[in-house]
Amino acid sequence: MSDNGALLQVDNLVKYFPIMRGAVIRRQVGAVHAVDGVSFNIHEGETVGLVGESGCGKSTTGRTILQLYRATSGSVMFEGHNLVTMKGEELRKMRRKMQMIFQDPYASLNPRMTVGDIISEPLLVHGLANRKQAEERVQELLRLVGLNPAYANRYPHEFSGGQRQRVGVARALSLQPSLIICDEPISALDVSIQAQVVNLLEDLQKQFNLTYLFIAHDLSMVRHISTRVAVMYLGVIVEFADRDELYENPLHPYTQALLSAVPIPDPLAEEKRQRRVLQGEIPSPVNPPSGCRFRTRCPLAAEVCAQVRPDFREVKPSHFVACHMVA
Amino acid sequence: MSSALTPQSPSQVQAVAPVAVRKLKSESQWSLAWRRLRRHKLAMFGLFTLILIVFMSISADWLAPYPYDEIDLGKAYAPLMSPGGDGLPAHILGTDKLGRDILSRLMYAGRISLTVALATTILTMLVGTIMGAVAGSFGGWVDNILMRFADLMLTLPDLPILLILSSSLRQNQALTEFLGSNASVIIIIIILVVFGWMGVSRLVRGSVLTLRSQEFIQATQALGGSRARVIFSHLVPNSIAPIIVAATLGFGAVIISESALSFLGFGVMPPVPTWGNMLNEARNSPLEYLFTQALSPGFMIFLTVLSINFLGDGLRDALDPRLKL
Repeated sequence: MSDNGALLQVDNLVKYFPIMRGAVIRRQVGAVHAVDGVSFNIHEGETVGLVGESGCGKSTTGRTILQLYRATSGSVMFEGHNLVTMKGEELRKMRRKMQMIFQDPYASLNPRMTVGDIISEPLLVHGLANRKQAEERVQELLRLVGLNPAYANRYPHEFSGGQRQRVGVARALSLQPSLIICDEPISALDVSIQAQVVNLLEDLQKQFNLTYLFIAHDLSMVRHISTRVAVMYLGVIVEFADRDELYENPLHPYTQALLSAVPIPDPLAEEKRQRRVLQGEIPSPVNPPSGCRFRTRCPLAAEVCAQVRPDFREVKPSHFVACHMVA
Repeated sequence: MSSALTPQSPSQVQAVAPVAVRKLKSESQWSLAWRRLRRHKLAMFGLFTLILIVFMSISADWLAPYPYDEIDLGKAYAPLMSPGGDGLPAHILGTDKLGRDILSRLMYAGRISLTVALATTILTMLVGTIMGAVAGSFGGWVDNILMRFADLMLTLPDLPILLILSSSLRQNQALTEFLGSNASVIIIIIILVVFGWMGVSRLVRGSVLTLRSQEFIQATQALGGSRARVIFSHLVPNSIAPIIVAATLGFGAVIISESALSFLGFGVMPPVPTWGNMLNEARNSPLEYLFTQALSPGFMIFLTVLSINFLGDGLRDALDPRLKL
């Protein structure tokens, strides 16, 4: 799937983490297939949701796109440049345009730096402002994310989780990036605070025409914020479609099972909800199943699923599925 | 774009806490640390004592009643508070076996002992921190080479090597000429640093390894921070607690090492006094004089090390913004 109008075009992205053995002579005895051939694109100004259960490679995908992990193979085209082959200074310059919001608002801020220093660090790193300008910009950004500008001299531990996450958002915004990868930005927050942060992200998106890759496991939150949604299972994307299409007409059996697990906030409807409970455990990414990754737990699995890896096909306009059993 | 940076949606406006905007210019991080340090009573005691000892040593030329090398064999082993000769000041702490005034020697000795300890500690921490932080943050073969080198240095028996090195370095004409009159002091500092950085580098490496996987380090990489920035403005500041503890413990150990070297005759050469070699000269004195001979330099070492430890304790806490003080 290629699309010339996309801001970000990920093609067949692969990230294996080697497993090493031996104390003196280290040799590779295997690999964790964290991301194994992921392709999707993101258009300017949209939000693509990336969902899947824990350990399926969502975060690794996000970090590999930003080159925090170097890809094993595949390509990441961002504004027409391939990030995977980019190195050193060139890549450092490119980082101005893509930023990340991290999952854990406690671990993602340096406890020994003031909030002001944290937010202005990107500006100073890229030489975009002197101390004085950076200070002004920090005030602006704090106001923008809904924090009191007087808090610039405080330390992260003096803030609540939601406030810290706002600091993380301010840091990501300070370089005025076009793409922000949100790596489960709300999973560590209380439900009421989640809504605040999501609303903030949406407001900022409108204001600055931001593009988000929104990684999460909360299906209803993803439905709320995304324009398109990709579903991941064990290192591969199994389904990718427009939000409403995906939630109303899921084609892949994994997506169907996933969506059937979402409770409906209406007692009558909830009683009629049919849960599709998957059998077994998620296989280890060290030895993923042959053919289709999902076949070991799939109710529809057939002979072909064990032998041939299903193509990621466009079964309907802009609705992609990787399954042999979908017509 | 900055003109567009005003909150427009109601959700943002609500989120701003209705706290009165306090003074925007608040104090710097250093003045904050100083304020926190001042609340630590023992640290302030340590700081005060240290300043006193340093002042005493620096102004020995004016304050000391006698020159450190004035020998008066007729007054050997004078007891405490014994009067000086005609119109000369009293020997408050008595004299040693050559009749030299102990108080004066203590004051002069502080110069060498403190200089050696301070310079060695600072250099050791610097080398150890850089080695450890580089090893920990690069990982892989860089880590392997640096840490195996540290292991190698640790397996060497340091005392024999210290002796050989200090005597052979001292005989090196070019080196002694280059270093001038303080040759023996500088040589000791160099040797103690070369054999002292490994412990710190291991501590720092360990702390860097646990920090390295934290998200704020990845955040710095993601925003385009160089490796040097990651190491020096994120990894090292967060490893400051073990570094300070190692430094305060190391400071005392250096004074002791210097005295051990002097004891064996390879340290600072007499007649220049250090607390270490004064302690060792006391070894030969008759039992009844041991009190003044040994305890006075011993007490100075004890007081200095204790003060440094208190100060280090306070510093470690004052520099950690997470602690409520």
